[in-house]
Amino acid sequence: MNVLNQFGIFFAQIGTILTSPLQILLLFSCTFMGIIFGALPGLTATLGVALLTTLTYGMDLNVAMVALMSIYVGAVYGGSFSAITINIPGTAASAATAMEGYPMAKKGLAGKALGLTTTASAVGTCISIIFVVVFIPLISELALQFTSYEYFLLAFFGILISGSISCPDTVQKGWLAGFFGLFLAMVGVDTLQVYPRFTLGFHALEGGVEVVPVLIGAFGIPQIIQALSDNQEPPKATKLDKIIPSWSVIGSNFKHIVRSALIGVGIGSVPGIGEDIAAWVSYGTAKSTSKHPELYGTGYEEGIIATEVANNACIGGAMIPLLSMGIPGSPPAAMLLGAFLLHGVSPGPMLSIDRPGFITEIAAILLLASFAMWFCGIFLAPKVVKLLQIPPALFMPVVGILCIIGSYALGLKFINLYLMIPMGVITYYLTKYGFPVPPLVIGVILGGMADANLRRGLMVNEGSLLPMLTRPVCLILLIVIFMTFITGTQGYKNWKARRKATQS
Amino acid sequence: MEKNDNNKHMRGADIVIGIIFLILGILILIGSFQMPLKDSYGGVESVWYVSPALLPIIIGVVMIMLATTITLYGIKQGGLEILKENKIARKAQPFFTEETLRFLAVLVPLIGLVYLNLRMIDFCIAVALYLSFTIGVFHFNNREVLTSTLKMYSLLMVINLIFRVFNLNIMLDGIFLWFTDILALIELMVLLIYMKKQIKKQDDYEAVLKHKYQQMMRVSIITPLTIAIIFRFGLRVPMPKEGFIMNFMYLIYYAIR
Repeated sequence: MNVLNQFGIFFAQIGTILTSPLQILLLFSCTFMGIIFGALPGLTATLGVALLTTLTYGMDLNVAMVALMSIYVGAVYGGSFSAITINIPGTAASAATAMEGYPMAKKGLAGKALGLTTTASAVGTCISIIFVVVFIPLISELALQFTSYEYFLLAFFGILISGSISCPDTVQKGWLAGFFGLFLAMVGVDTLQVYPRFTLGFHALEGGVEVVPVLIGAFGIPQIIQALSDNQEPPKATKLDKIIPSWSVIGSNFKHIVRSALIGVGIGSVPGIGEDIAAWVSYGTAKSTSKHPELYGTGYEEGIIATEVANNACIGGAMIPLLSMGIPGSPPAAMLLGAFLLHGVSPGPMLSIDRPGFITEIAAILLLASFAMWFCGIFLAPKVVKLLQIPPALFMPVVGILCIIGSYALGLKFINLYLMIPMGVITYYLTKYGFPVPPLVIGVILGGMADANLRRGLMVNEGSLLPMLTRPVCLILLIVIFMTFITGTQGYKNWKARRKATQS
Repeated sequence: MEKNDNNKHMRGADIVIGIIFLILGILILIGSFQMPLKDSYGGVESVWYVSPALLPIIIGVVMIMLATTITLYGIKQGGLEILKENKIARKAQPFFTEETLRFLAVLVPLIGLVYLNLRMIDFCIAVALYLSFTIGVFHFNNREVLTSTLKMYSLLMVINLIFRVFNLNIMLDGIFLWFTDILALIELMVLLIYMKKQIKKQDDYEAVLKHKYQQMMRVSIITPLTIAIIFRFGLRVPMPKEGFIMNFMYLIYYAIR
């Protein structure tokens, strides 16, 4: 009954949005802007959401959410344009799409490939919405039973798992990036004793390191440095005639779609793991279970469907921990968390009580954004492909200015700007040497939550850590953290390799 | 082969970054132990578990452990040899390689804009100065132009730095309104003329660079004006410094209203 009620509210919300011309206009324009952000190499979904956040500051909450969710959906999908037409993934999430999309484009089937990605992305987003509507209220209800220790362990787990999965090199680098983020979150006046920590005597640092400028610095500045340092002229895009929606191909791949959507939602709901990992896992799974694995890499439709359904389904998945527990499921979701807080919304188990209907409103926007994305993708694709010919040297400096004014506009503080540049340079070098950025960002976001909940838990239990072992959720989280830690160590890897060698 | 080289290079970097994080971890621990632990703070008797140092101590310890692991892993995988090889290779190369120059050409104007110009020059002029340099040098994609223009831009930033350090901008703005902005406008003109002269020397001026110069001019002028209109007049966000151009825009805005 509760779920049916949720769906009732969901459709009512759709009706509300559709009766507002301003929201419809924003829905389409922001989705299209998102597609451009995703398509242009160097610009990411996270940066798109970050820059738009500053523009939505003066808007009503409902209107702002339409703009932010639309750009998110559009940007995750938009990466496939450059992946297919010029073999350069616009976003990391579409890197796997290039594996099949570009060979298809070389065969003269760019329109068909884009039609497939458009429809598959829309289907992926739509499937993930079901999970948003059904699971968030259930998880929120469960999270209401959580005590401080559960929240502390969840934050800790988020940093560890995001470090483990998103790290291209040794997992220790991912964890170190996460703990560096945690340290950054400690800067400023402590909330319990009002003690200034690591401020080095600067009053401007007492307010702490703000999330949005850190995110803009971490995701914007390295991209600008990279794109301008490389400064490669964009290759000529393959010819694009007509975009074909390919409903029949989608229909015949129903099994793959469901599996990829489940992978996308599942990976999206793990804290800090983004759309790129969902796409690669889904592509790998599709290839290993395919009847024709030899066709992968030659422009096989199944591969495109697997990646695009998964990376867009990840959006809904990322919303689940974000809205139910306040823990972002992906880097763009981390940025959305910052945007929610700016608009006075505190995601977490109390969200459905504080703001009834907010979760279904987000789901409704996601559904409409996926329609807008499909429409823009099918009818405006040639325009986007033309934009891909703009050299990065022309638009990247403009993005730099948007990053600067965006960071400054949030609070009108120069300290945000002064922190953004070193943050960007540090992240540039960390990324260059195999340290992932998502755990760092997750650390900054969850640091406050981890600190406050650890001390609150200890205060309630008069310094005892025993409840961590007696409460079931705490115990499960502790075991998972322990396993994540153990499986990441070199000793475990050596043992596993030895065991494999003995068995063979 | 390339992947293998990159991996070897990474092991060398692991040692350097590992040591940096190791030092940071130690500094975090030192800083944490200076915080109130279980003694009284602000007149309130405290216990260890409400101490603001609790999580920072955990962070410091874990960071030291992880940084040590990464450093040792780097050493074990031959990172030290890579560092030595890199050092020898760097000695054989000129100090300003193409890569270094490009990196500097991204960072110098960005640092100049954020730490220097935004607070002392009108927003539109400061942004136009940044964009004309950055778009120019990267869009022309010519090492000779990049090197000479970077030198010129650095010289202009040194002039601005002298003004800022000795508060000359405040003093001269007091004597003659918008002095700093007019000076920055002159700097912009100098930079544009200098770049034009530089690209005119190149063989592909008529065929390619002339058109790129025009594109650079258009983007450098339109972007700051558009951003200022959206943020100042649309979103009511005050610009970091509102000087000559911004005040001129106010005049137009109120005349239209």
